[in-house]
Amino acid sequence: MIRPAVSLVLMAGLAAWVGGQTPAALKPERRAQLYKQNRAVIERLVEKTVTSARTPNDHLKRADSYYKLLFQFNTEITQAREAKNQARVDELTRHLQTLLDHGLAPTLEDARKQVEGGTGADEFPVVKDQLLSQLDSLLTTLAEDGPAKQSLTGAKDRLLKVRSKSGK
Amino acid sequence: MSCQTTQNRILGLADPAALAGPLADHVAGCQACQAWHRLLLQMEVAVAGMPVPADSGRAKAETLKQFQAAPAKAPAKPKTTKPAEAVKPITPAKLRKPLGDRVARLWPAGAVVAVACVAVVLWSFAGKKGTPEVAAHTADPMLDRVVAAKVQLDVAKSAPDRLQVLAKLADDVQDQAKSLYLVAPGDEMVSLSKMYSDIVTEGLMFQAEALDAAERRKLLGDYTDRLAKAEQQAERLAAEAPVGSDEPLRDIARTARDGKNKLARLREKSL
Repeated sequence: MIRPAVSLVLMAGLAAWVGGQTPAALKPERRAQLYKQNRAVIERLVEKTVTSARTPNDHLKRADSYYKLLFQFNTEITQAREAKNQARVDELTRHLQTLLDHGLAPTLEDARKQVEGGTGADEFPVVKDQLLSQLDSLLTTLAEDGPAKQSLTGAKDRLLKVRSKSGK
Repeated sequence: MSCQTTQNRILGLADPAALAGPLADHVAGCQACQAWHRLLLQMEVAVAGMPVPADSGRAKAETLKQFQAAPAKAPAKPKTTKPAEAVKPITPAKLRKPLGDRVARLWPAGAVVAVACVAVVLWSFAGKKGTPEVAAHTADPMLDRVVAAKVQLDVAKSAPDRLQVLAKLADDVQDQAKSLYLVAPGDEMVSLSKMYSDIVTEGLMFQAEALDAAERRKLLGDYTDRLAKAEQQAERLAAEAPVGSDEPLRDIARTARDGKNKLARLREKSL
């Protein structure tokens, strides 16, 4: 009975080991392929991250850094959709939602306080118009994506809530 | 031939009176064996002349019974009180089958285990075979990290928090360069070295300068060490990198070295 028992234990161990395997790390070739595909978005994100780092107390400028990001994501999502690459559309949309809900939303809240305090009131209408135009464009692009639409509408509502002293 | 050997051989003869060959020669020349042989012949005659008692055959039958298998049970025999048995029959122990026979009987279990093992291995390989398809939809870990960095930086409330985010981003970019330097020399590596430079020179240094003296003393030592490690690693990789990756890696090493020196100076000033 020892041999079958040992065989069963080995088999169970093997099955547990195979089942417990985490997805293998991406191979360098695959990472390079992904980097080529996402390079423009990544470069833009890093550029705007550094910009935000250099303007920690100017929330309006930090909000403005999202304009080019939204533009970049809009371009990439549109291209992926034209290429019928739904997986890429989904991936980019997921990141866009993260940026809108966890990055732009708190930044707009800080910007609202700043503008209502009187700082950057002159720049605000331009920033607001640019962001609104990108949000509207993305709403058209992602009209069929419920969660993304919700994030975009939320961002738009927050932006519209910001009012300078002049009422603009 | 010794006397003992001779006597033993004579005892083994069917008729000890008829000696021949070397046995006869030995006995003829040995007085002790002659005396022993005479005694043996007398005993043969005496044993043959002993009276044999009459035999009922019962003792023989009982002895044979002990070695015979138990008879089949008689059908529907009425129960009667048995007399005490004079001799209890000895049941011979069953013969133990050889180990090979016993293992051979377990072949179905062995077959099940073998099939299960093969299935597990095939399933494992089938999973790997499917990896390229899965990989086609794999999220880019670099994009994940960069998005996370942007969000974390925008919600960071202090210079130390922002410094931490930027240092992590610099590490991520260097890690990406380490992954790609052998497979993507050229534009991709130049792009990464430029990003690394922007993050360290423009972002990290700016935040380090924004720290107060106590924060500089507390934090800058660790970031200096990180940049020193980044410099060493980039130099090491550059030494073995193909053309197109070597220069970008040296740029990364240079950026890390300059950053390390600046942070060290900032820290010195705060001491």
